[in-house]
Amino acid sequence: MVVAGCAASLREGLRVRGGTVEFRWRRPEAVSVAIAGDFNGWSASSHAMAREGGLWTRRIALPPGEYAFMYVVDGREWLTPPVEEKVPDGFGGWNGRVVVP
Amino acid sequence: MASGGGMAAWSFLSALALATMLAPAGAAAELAAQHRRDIARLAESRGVAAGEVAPLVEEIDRAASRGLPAGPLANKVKEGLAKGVPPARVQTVLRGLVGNMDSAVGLLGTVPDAALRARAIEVLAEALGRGVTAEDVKRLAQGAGAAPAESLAFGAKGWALLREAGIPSDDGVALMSEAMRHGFRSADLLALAREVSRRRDEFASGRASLDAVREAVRRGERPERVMPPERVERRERAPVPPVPERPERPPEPPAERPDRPERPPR
Repeated sequence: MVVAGCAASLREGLRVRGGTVEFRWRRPEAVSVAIAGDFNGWSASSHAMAREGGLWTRRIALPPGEYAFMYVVDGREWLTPPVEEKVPDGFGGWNGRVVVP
Repeated sequence: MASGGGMAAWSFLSALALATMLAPAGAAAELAAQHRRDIARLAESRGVAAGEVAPLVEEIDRAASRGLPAGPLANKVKEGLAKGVPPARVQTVLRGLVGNMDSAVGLLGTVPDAALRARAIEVLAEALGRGVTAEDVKRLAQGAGAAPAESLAFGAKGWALLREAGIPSDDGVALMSEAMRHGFRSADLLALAREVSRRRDEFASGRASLDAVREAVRRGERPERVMPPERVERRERAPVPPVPERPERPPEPPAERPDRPERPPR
């Protein structure tokens, strides 16, 4: 597993508005990016992100709670999101965490 | 992570048969059956043989039969398989999680409400997995008085966050205990811990005082007012970069209906 660095675009990150989380990540070389987390059974295909102006983005409505997630690049590379809160996944890597109030 | 796809002979049908064989009877088993199917599908996608994944399912079944919440355990297995972690390693992690849940049960005592019990076990197990000790939990319980189990679990998780931020044990446990004693809700306990963690440099340098925060809690300040207003304002702006965003912002995507969380396809 590769852990992504945090020095990336200023505009990438998470935005939580109401019950919707907007995931934004700069990964220009990627052909595809998906979000896998405990909200979707760690599926690497069910929540694909869309490329928008150099960023990969996706909005997901989630019930209040805390969610662990990672970005999956090109269907095979699992990367730790460059977000403020990260938690160890128990397997030697780190998950990003998003809190939905 | 290694994909390992296509290396082992795997029969999805046999996995389903195995899942059916292992499934306990009754309506309560429906969720477990769905977890089994999800695990079987993930294993198949990673080329993991049925014989390697069966012990993982059995481990979850044993835990569930003791009253531990199966959902978080199944989710951990799914996570490991999805990431291409070898099943033996997944099982080690799974056993660690089960052990923490067993410890949580002992620390929480009797919790009549099943849903609250499951939630408290899951949260406290996470705290234990992040370095909180049983002794810490007992200190939290003593300091908080007659706090409900859920509050104790979230207080412990809050202490885990503070601990990871380098807050000394006495200070962190005392702050969480005070907040629990004053009826902070679960979300408020975690929000307080996150706020202190985020501003740990201020507390470490003496520009902010944990004693003052605790005193505010003791005075009965509302959770959102425990920190001075200007601090809260700074906290809220912190994740947003200082560079003006709007001029650089790409066009808003067309209005779309937010997605609901989805299960992986059956």
